[in-house]
Amino acid sequence: MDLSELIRNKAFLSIAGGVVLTGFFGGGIYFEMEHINKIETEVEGVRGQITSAQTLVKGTPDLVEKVVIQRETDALVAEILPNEEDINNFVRTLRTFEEGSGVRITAVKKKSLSTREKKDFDRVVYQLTFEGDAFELLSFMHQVESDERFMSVPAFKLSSSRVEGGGADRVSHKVTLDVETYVYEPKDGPAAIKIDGYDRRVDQLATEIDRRKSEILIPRYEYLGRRSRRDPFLDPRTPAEELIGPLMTVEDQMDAVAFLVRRATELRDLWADYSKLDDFQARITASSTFEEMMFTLEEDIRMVKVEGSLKHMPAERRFRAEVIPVMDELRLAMGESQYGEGPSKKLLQEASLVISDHLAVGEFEQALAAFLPLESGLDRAAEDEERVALVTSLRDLELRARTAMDFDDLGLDLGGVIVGENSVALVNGKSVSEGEMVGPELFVRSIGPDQVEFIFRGILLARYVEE
Amino acid sequence: MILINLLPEELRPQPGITPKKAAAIAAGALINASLLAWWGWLSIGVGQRVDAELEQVKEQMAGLTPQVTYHRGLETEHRVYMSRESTLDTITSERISWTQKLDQFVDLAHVGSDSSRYLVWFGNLNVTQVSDARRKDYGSLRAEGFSGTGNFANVANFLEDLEESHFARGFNPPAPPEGSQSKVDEGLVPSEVWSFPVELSLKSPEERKSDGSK
Repeated sequence: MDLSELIRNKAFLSIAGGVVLTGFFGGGIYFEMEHINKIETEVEGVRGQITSAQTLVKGTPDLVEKVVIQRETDALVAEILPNEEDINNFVRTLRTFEEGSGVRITAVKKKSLSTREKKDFDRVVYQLTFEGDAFELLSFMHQVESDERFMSVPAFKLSSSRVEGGGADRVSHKVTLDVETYVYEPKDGPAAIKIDGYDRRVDQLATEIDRRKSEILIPRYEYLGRRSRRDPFLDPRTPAEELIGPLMTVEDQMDAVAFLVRRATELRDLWADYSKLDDFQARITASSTFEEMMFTLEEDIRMVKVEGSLKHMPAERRFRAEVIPVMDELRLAMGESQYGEGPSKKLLQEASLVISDHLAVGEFEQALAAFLPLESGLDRAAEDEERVALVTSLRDLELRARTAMDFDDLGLDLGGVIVGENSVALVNGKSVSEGEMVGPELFVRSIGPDQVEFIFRGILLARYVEE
Repeated sequence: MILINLLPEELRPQPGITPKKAAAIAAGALINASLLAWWGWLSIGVGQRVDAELEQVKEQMAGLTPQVTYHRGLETEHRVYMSRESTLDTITSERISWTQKLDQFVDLAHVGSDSSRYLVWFGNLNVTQVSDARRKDYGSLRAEGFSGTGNFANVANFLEDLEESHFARGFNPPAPPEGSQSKVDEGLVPSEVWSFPVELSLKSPEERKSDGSK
């Protein structure tokens, strides 16, 4: 059957048409499914992106906070690290440090560096050569390290030397010191993203920003100066020719100074305790001990100065650093306090009452003991109009106490009395009548049945007649 | 009676559709109709749904894109700052306050002479600070020391005090005491002097930090 016959065959045509139609529909379905799969894959992809984006965006508030903090602290970094202009002013800054410390700069050289990339930070190192003693070096280094712009000292060398000049030795160590800093010049980075309500966020994050800033700030060491210390780059030994006259050995000098230091420290502690006391009796006791110690220590210090017995440099330096300033401080503190102006009005009133009470019960020694600690300050107190009357009264009480004690010391033996028109008393085995002199400055004032009154140094005193 | 059809073959009437043929035609038609229906369902039902779904997620994504861009921008800025901070941390963590160290060194020499434990002084001082983690070299402090006494034990006293002092924080322990007696100078008191080296190597920045020497 040839092709024309096949075409004429209706059955064949029907079958062929059906198959073509099936193929067409199948193809259509296939391509449609391909399309749907593609779209679904795309949808899945976009959904994945959405999930990632949502996760990402969820972290945005935290990121905003971080960036706000970083922007604010970056401003501080810019303040701490020098910029190009600061580096250009570096030599001027060094001149200020030189004047402030006393060193003498002889050379300033910018060091060429091997490449050490620090991104936005360019390392700059200057090598300085100067002369000065250890404390001038310390002062200079302190100014470098505590400058508002970050600077550090990665290396330094010191060679000890003493230069003769102007009749006095001048210490002039040779120092080579490297000063390192990092110039902060931010390279072109991404433009800052606009953050809504930036200022408000800065306010809200103020605590966190401050905390971060304090982390960035470099802690500065507080250098308190020479503080009477010796330069450790100088030979501290004493020339033998200076050790003439009444000489103490080095050990003796060190021991003597240590003893003075200990006493000065004790005295300072005692003063601190005394200043806190309110109780009259305690103040009296403390001031008595204090004055005694102060007097003996001042005497010893005076002797040390007069005799010039401290030749050993560390001993002499310690004496000047730890004894003299303490005594100066104490004198100053005493002068500023009521102590320097004599006893206060309140103290005088209290003392007056205490002494009167002792006298009333015949406790003359206790009365005198209460008076003695005040005695040295009474002249100063008497210069004050408000206290002069109290001082006079206290001195009168003291006189009474002393007179009474002297009267006791006379040891009068009162044998008996005969009271009548002409009363007679038997004193020290002798009969005396009223108005009669018993001894120097001692008169009989009156004779009673149970007591005899005497006038001793103008003060009335009584003695009871023993049964 | 026998009838004979004398018409030629092509003019003779065709026989009717047999049941088999009818079944085959019906099956073919059914298959094609099903395929057409499936295609229609896919195209109109599923296809449009997924298209709409795609459109929807694209719109959703488009809504998120500015926020993502904003986030990415912030992230880039954050990374730049982090990098700067890290550099700054490195710079500052390596820094040593030599004012403090030298001040403590002066204290040490001074206190010892006051307490008569030793009387020492130094002819020179050489301080270098480097950062070579590979060779574990972070710098050193070297000095030529002198002890004004005939008793070498005073050098040991000094080195002992040095090791226990605040000054030694951040340094590795010094080498055991060694030295030699210098020339005796009768013109000075004390006349005998021992010379000794002081050599201290710096610890790494991390160790210094944990030492509390910063």
